[in-house]
Amino acid sequence: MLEHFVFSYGFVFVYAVFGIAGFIVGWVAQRGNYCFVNAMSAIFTTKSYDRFGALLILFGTSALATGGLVAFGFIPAVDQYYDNYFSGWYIIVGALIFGFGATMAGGCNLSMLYRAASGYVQNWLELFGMMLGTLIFAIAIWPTQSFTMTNGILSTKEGAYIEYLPYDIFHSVAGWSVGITALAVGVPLVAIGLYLQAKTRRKWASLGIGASAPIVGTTMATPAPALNSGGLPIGGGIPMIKPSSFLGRIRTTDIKNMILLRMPYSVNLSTALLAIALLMVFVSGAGYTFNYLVITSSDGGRFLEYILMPFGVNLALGTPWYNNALAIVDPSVLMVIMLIVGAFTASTLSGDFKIRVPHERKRLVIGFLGGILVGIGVRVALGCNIGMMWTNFAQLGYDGILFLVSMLGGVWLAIKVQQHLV
Amino acid sequence: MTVAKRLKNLEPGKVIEVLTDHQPAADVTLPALANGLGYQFYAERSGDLYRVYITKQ
Repeated sequence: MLEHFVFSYGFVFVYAVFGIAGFIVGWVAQRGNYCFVNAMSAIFTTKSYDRFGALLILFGTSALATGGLVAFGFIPAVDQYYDNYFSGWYIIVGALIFGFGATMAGGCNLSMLYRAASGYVQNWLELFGMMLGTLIFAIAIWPTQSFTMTNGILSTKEGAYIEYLPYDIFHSVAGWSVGITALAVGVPLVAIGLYLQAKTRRKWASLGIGASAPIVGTTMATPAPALNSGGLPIGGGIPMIKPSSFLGRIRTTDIKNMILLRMPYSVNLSTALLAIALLMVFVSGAGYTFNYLVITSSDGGRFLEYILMPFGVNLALGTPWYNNALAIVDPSVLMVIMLIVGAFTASTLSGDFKIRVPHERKRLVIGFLGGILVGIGVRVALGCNIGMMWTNFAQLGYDGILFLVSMLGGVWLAIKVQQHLV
Repeated sequence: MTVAKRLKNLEPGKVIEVLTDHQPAADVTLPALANGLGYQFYAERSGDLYRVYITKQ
């Protein structure tokens, strides 16, 4: 990292901001039911693009915001590209394995954590599976993968500015080149995202379930009670008012219900808040540490290392991959812990928290096995959907695009398998 | 996916009732399924559970 700090505040401030950002991410993801896997699988299962569109908007706004800060000189370019990873076969293979495993397990790395914090036992097992998958990767895969990366076998040999699109396109990391690249990456992503959301909304409207259609009460009042063979009258509970995937206009009562935690956050509100959390980390961590949201892929995987330490087993001493870094509580580990705290707080205050054990015990096994694939996939890909894909869009790299396409392939494959199993 | 399969075999005009404690299913997955198929739905919270009704049209 840089020899000088971009800002003169100390590490205490950096830790504090990373902690708050982690809390915000956990809270917002829980309240908005934000799941990358769910957003992608909806494309194949229900042909809904509203949440996938939101992901593209998230990537686009992140690229525009970080690129804008660099272009106008608020943050040095080196703090945007310094942690860009190598690129190669492993991004494609890893993202494919990750997409498959996460879909089978029932959650991406973000939703795994906030659902685990909301009491989902299946996601606890996914997390443990991910820890085991990380160990399998470290021992069985990393030495070979590392060899290919070092020797440039289907891999670039350097990251950082070599993987930085402004440099790749303009051979410059000056403000103007970063600005133009940010616009070239961000604007199309936001435009495609908005288009996909509008397309989904138009489709729903054409089917009579559009944004202006009433959802509560009137639509089901007549047919449902007569046809409900279970004898359970509609109206006995609290109406959900408006699902967060519904793209209609948000009214004052909706805002009030969101603040009072009676209603999930709308998907685009969640997207905006998550982008703000990324910016908080990007700015405050510049010059100090990895200034992006890393979430679970490395830190979550390292939890096994922390768990084994009291038993006298120290993976950092002799195990490949683990021995590349010290097992310390750095700002990103704190961020992951605070993400869990944020999700737990949100689920508890909203009444969503409950220890949930699936009725079908095989789901626990699938969650664990899927978690192992998640652990292997994210480590092979050098990061998860947050620390690699979303982050790389904000870094103005191109690995995020490779990850996105390959992950979509993995999700599609898992949907096909699930359709045969159901 | 189970609900989608059940809906496929359901007669038009009939309502399927889904009981779940998985909030994202009531908030995201099932409304998206119903919206995508053009079916009306209604979701309510009842204690720890969510009841989602989808009318096949």
